[in-house]
Amino acid sequence: MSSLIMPATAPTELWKTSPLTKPAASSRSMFSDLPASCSWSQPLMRQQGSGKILNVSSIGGKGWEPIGAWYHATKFAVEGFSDCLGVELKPFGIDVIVIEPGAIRIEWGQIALDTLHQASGHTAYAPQAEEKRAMFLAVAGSACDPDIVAREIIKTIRSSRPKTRYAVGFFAKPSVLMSTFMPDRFNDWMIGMITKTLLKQQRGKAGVQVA
Amino acid sequence: MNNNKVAVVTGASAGIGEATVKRLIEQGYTTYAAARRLDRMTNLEKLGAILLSLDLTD
Repeated sequence: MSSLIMPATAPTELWKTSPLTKPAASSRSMFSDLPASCSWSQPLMRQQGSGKILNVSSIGGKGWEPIGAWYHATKFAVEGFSDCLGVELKPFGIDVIVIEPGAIRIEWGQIALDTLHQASGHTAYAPQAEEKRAMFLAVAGSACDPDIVAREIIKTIRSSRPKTRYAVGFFAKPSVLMSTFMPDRFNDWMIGMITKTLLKQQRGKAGVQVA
Repeated sequence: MNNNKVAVVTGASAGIGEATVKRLIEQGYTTYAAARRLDRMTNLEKLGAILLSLDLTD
Protein backbone atom coordinates (compact mmCIF):
# COMPACT_ATOMS: atom_id res chain seq x y z
CA MET A 1 0.00 0.00 0.00
CA SER A 2 1.38 3.40 -0.81
CA SER A 3 0.13 6.92 -0.40
CA LEU A 4 1.16 10.27 -1.74
CA ILE A 5 0.16 13.23 0.39
CA MET A 6 0.56 16.72 -1.01
CA PRO A 7 -0.11 19.68 1.21
CA ALA A 8 2.29 21.89 -0.73
CA THR A 9 -0.22 24.09 -2.45
CA ALA A 10 -0.92 27.07 -0.22
CA PRO A 11 0.79 29.92 -2.04
CA THR A 12 0.89 32.87 0.33
CA GLU A 13 1.98 35.35 -2.33
CA LEU A 14 -1.42 35.22 -3.91
CA TRP A 15 -3.31 37.48 -1.54
CA LYS A 16 -3.60 40.68 -3.46
CA THR A 17 -6.02 42.77 -5.46
CA SER A 18 -7.08 40.75 -8.43
CA PRO A 19 -7.56 43.41 -11.10
CA LEU A 20 -4.19 45.06 -10.58
CA THR A 21 -1.77 42.17 -10.34
CA LYS A 22 -0.30 39.24 -12.21
CA PRO A 23 -0.17 35.77 -10.67
CA ALA A 24 2.91 35.09 -8.57
CA ALA A 25 5.41 32.44 -9.59
CA SER A 26 4.03 30.33 -6.78
CA SER A 27 0.83 29.68 -8.70
CA ARG A 28 3.05 27.15 -10.45
CA SER A 29 2.75 25.02 -7.34
CA MET A 30 -0.71 24.17 -8.58
CA PHE A 31 -0.30 24.18 -12.34
CA SER A 32 3.05 22.40 -12.50
CA ASP A 33 4.24 20.89 -9.20
CA LEU A 34 1.06 19.13 -8.21
CA PRO A 35 0.43 17.47 -11.61
CA ALA A 36 4.13 16.48 -11.73
CA SER A 37 3.93 14.78 -8.34
CA CYS A 38 0.75 12.99 -9.36
CA SER A 39 2.51 11.73 -12.52
CA TRP A 40 5.60 10.26 -10.95
CA SER A 41 3.63 8.43 -8.31
CA GLN A 42 1.29 6.74 -10.77
CA PRO A 43 3.39 4.01 -12.44
CA LEU A 44 4.16 2.25 -9.16
CA MET A 45 0.59 2.54 -7.92
CA ARG A 46 -0.79 1.24 -11.24
CA GLN A 47 1.63 -1.67 -11.11
CA GLN A 48 0.54 -2.69 -7.64
CA GLY A 49 -3.11 -1.98 -8.43
CA SER A 50 -3.64 0.23 -5.41
CA GLY A 51 -2.66 3.51 -3.83
CA LYS A 52 -4.04 6.79 -2.61
CA ILE A 53 -3.23 10.31 -3.73
CA LEU A 54 -4.29 13.00 -1.27
CA ASN A 55 -4.29 16.58 -2.48
CA VAL A 56 -4.64 19.23 0.18
CA SER A 57 -6.94 21.97 -1.06
CA SER A 58 -8.76 24.25 1.37
CA ILE A 59 -12.25 25.44 2.20
CA GLY A 60 -11.06 28.09 -0.25
CA GLY A 61 -11.42 25.43 -2.94
CA LYS A 62 -15.19 25.88 -2.65
CA GLY A 63 -15.80 29.40 -1.38
CA TRP A 64 -14.59 32.84 -2.39
CA GLU A 65 -13.87 36.27 -0.94
CA PRO A 66 -12.54 39.67 -1.99
CA ILE A 67 -8.77 40.00 -2.59
CA GLY A 68 -8.49 36.22 -2.90
CA ALA A 69 -8.89 35.60 -6.64
CA TRP A 70 -5.40 34.28 -7.33
CA TYR A 71 -5.41 32.19 -4.18
CA HIS A 72 -8.85 30.72 -4.75
CA ALA A 73 -8.07 30.09 -8.42
CA THR A 74 -5.30 27.70 -7.37
CA LYS A 75 -7.50 26.00 -4.78
CA PHE A 76 -10.43 25.56 -7.17
CA ALA A 77 -7.87 24.11 -9.58
CA VAL A 78 -6.75 21.53 -7.01
CA GLU A 79 -10.38 20.46 -6.66
CA GLY A 80 -11.06 20.18 -10.40
CA PHE A 81 -7.75 18.53 -11.18
CA SER A 82 -8.24 15.97 -8.41
CA ASP A 83 -11.79 15.10 -9.44
CA CYS A 84 -10.74 14.45 -13.05
CA LEU A 85 -7.72 12.45 -11.91
CA GLY A 86 -9.95 10.48 -9.55
CA VAL A 87 -12.21 9.11 -12.27
CA GLU A 88 -9.19 8.42 -14.52
CA LEU A 89 -7.33 6.44 -11.88
CA LYS A 90 -10.29 4.56 -10.41
CA PRO A 91 -9.94 1.68 -12.93
CA PHE A 92 -6.37 1.16 -11.69
CA GLY A 93 -7.42 0.89 -8.07
CA ILE A 94 -6.02 4.30 -7.14
CA ASP A 95 -8.07 6.67 -4.97
CA VAL A 96 -7.71 10.43 -5.32
CA ILE A 97 -8.85 12.31 -2.24
CA VAL A 98 -9.19 16.02 -1.53
CA ILE A 99 -8.57 17.35 1.97
CA GLU A 100 -10.19 20.73 2.68
CA PRO A 101 -8.72 22.28 5.83
CA GLY A 102 -10.41 25.25 7.49
CA ALA A 103 -8.40 27.70 9.59
CA ILE A 104 -5.19 25.98 10.67
CA ARG A 105 -2.43 27.49 12.80
CA ILE A 106 0.63 27.52 10.49
CA GLU A 107 3.23 30.07 9.43
CA TRP A 108 1.15 30.67 6.31
CA GLY A 109 -1.12 33.22 8.04
CA GLN A 110 1.53 35.79 8.91
CA ILE A 111 3.19 35.57 5.49
CA ALA A 112 -0.18 36.03 3.80
CA LEU A 113 -0.89 39.10 5.94
CA ASP A 114 2.44 40.69 5.00
CA THR A 115 2.05 40.13 1.26
CA LEU A 116 -1.54 41.31 1.42
CA HIS A 117 -0.43 44.61 2.90
CA GLN A 118 2.51 45.04 0.52
CA ALA A 119 0.48 44.32 -2.60
CA SER A 120 -2.84 45.98 -1.81
CA GLY A 121 -2.41 48.23 1.23
CA HIS A 122 -1.84 51.36 -0.85
CA THR A 123 -4.24 50.86 -3.74
CA ALA A 124 -7.87 51.69 -4.43
CA TYR A 125 -8.60 48.34 -2.81
CA ALA A 126 -7.01 49.26 0.53
CA PRO A 127 -10.33 49.26 2.46
CA GLN A 128 -11.05 45.72 1.27
CA ALA A 129 -7.50 44.70 2.12
CA GLU A 130 -8.05 46.06 5.62
CA GLU A 131 -11.23 44.02 6.00
CA LYS A 132 -9.37 40.96 4.79
CA ARG A 133 -6.65 41.63 7.35
CA ALA A 134 -9.25 41.83 10.14
CA MET A 135 -10.62 38.48 9.02
CA PHE A 136 -7.18 36.84 9.01
CA LEU A 137 -6.48 38.16 12.51
CA ALA A 138 -9.86 37.08 13.89
CA VAL A 139 -9.59 33.61 12.41
CA ALA A 140 -6.01 33.20 13.69
CA GLY A 141 -7.37 33.17 17.24
CA SER A 142 -9.61 30.16 16.54
CA ALA A 143 -7.31 28.27 14.16
CA CYS A 144 -6.71 24.56 14.85
CA ASP A 145 -3.41 22.77 15.31
CA PRO A 146 -2.14 21.19 12.04
CA ASP A 147 -2.14 17.83 13.83
CA ILE A 148 -5.95 17.78 13.47
CA VAL A 149 -5.49 17.63 9.70
CA ALA A 150 -2.68 15.07 10.05
CA ARG A 151 -4.93 12.74 12.04
CA GLU A 152 -7.72 13.06 9.45
CA ILE A 153 -5.16 12.20 6.73
CA ILE A 154 -4.08 9.07 8.63
CA LYS A 155 -7.72 7.99 9.02
CA THR A 156 -8.27 8.54 5.30
CA ILE A 157 -5.29 6.54 4.09
CA ARG A 158 -6.19 3.67 6.43
CA SER A 159 -9.74 3.57 5.11
CA SER A 160 -10.50 0.85 2.59
CA ARG A 161 -13.21 2.97 0.97
CA PRO A 162 -12.37 6.63 1.52
CA LYS A 163 -14.69 9.47 0.65
CA THR A 164 -13.67 11.82 -2.17
CA ARG A 165 -13.29 14.85 0.12
CA TYR A 166 -12.89 15.63 3.77
CA ALA A 167 -13.43 19.06 5.35
CA VAL A 168 -11.49 19.41 8.59
CA GLY A 169 -10.57 22.16 11.08
CA PHE A 170 -12.13 25.39 12.33
CA PHE A 171 -15.17 26.48 10.29
CA ALA A 172 -14.41 23.91 7.57
CA LYS A 173 -17.69 21.97 7.53
CA PRO A 174 -20.13 24.92 7.72
CA SER A 175 -18.09 26.81 5.14
CA VAL A 176 -18.08 23.97 2.62
CA LEU A 177 -21.80 23.32 3.20
CA MET A 178 -22.58 26.99 2.65
CA SER A 179 -20.54 27.25 -0.56
CA THR A 180 -22.06 24.06 -1.93
CA PHE A 181 -25.72 24.45 -1.07
CA MET A 182 -26.50 28.16 -0.62
CA PRO A 183 -27.18 30.50 -3.55
CA ASP A 184 -24.20 32.47 -4.88
CA ARG A 185 -25.69 35.83 -3.91
CA PHE A 186 -26.26 34.66 -0.38
CA ASN A 187 -22.60 33.68 -0.11
CA ASP A 188 -21.55 37.06 -1.55
CA TRP A 189 -23.63 38.80 1.11
CA MET A 190 -22.42 36.50 3.89
CA ILE A 191 -18.71 37.01 3.21
CA GLY A 192 -19.21 40.78 3.10
CA MET A 193 -21.13 40.78 6.35
CA ILE A 194 -18.59 38.58 8.16
CA THR A 195 -15.58 40.68 7.15
CA LYS A 196 -17.31 44.00 8.00
CA THR A 197 -18.39 42.69 11.41
CA LEU A 198 -14.90 41.43 12.20
CA LEU A 199 -13.33 44.74 11.19
CA LYS A 200 -15.79 46.62 13.44
CA GLN A 201 -15.01 44.26 16.34
CA GLN A 202 -11.27 44.74 15.95
CA ARG A 203 -11.61 48.52 15.79
CA GLY A 204 -13.75 48.30 18.94
CA LYS A 205 -11.05 46.33 20.72
CA ALA A 206 -8.35 48.76 19.62
CA GLY A 207 -10.49 51.65 20.93
CA VAL A 208 -10.82 50.01 24.34
CA GLN A 209 -7.08 49.53 24.57
CA VAL A 210 -6.43 53.20 23.83
CA ALA A 211 -8.95 54.32 26.43
CA MET B 1 3.96 -10.16 -0.58
CA ASN B 2 5.09 -7.54 1.83
CA ASN B 3 2.87 -5.49 4.03
CA ASN B 4 5.07 -2.44 3.89
CA LYS B 5 3.12 0.75 4.20
CA VAL B 6 4.86 3.52 2.31
CA ALA B 7 3.92 7.19 2.23
CA VAL B 8 5.43 10.19 0.47
CA VAL B 9 4.62 13.66 1.81
CA THR B 10 5.49 16.78 -0.18
CA GLY B 11 5.77 20.16 1.51
CA ALA B 12 6.94 18.26 4.57
CA SER B 13 9.17 20.93 6.12
CA ALA B 14 6.38 22.84 7.86
CA GLY B 15 2.72 23.05 8.77
CA ILE B 16 0.31 20.31 7.73
CA GLY B 17 3.03 18.36 5.88
CA GLU B 18 5.31 18.22 8.91
CA ALA B 19 2.46 17.21 11.25
CA THR B 20 1.44 14.46 8.81
CA VAL B 21 4.97 13.02 8.62
CA LYS B 22 5.08 12.76 12.43
CA ARG B 23 1.76 10.90 12.57
CA LEU B 24 2.73 8.54 9.71
CA ILE B 25 5.98 7.55 11.45
CA GLU B 26 4.07 7.00 14.69
CA GLN B 27 1.69 4.69 12.77
CA GLY B 28 4.56 2.62 11.37
CA TYR B 29 4.63 3.92 7.81
CA THR B 30 7.89 4.04 5.86
CA THR B 31 7.71 7.78 5.34
CA TYR B 32 9.46 9.88 2.71
CA ALA B 33 9.47 13.57 3.59
CA ALA B 34 9.95 15.80 0.56
CA ALA B 35 10.60 19.55 0.50
CA ARG B 36 12.99 22.12 -0.90
CA ARG B 37 14.37 22.97 2.52
CA LEU B 38 16.22 19.85 3.68
CA ASP B 39 17.83 21.74 6.59
CA ARG B 40 14.38 22.35 8.06
CA MET B 41 13.60 18.63 8.26
CA THR B 42 16.44 17.41 10.51
CA ASN B 43 13.90 16.91 13.31
CA LEU B 44 11.85 14.63 11.04
CA GLU B 45 14.97 12.68 10.04
CA LYS B 46 15.68 12.03 13.71
CA LEU B 47 12.16 10.62 14.07
CA GLY B 48 12.84 8.20 11.20
CA ALA B 49 11.68 9.98 8.05
CA ILE B 50 13.65 9.50 4.83
CA LEU B 51 14.35 12.95 3.41
CA LEU B 52 13.93 13.86 -0.25
CA SER B 53 15.14 17.14 -1.68
CA LEU B 54 12.34 18.01 -4.02
CA ASP B 55 12.05 21.20 -5.97
CA LEU B 56 9.54 20.65 -8.70
CA THR B 57 9.66 24.20 -9.98
CA ASP B 58 11.70 23.94 -13.15
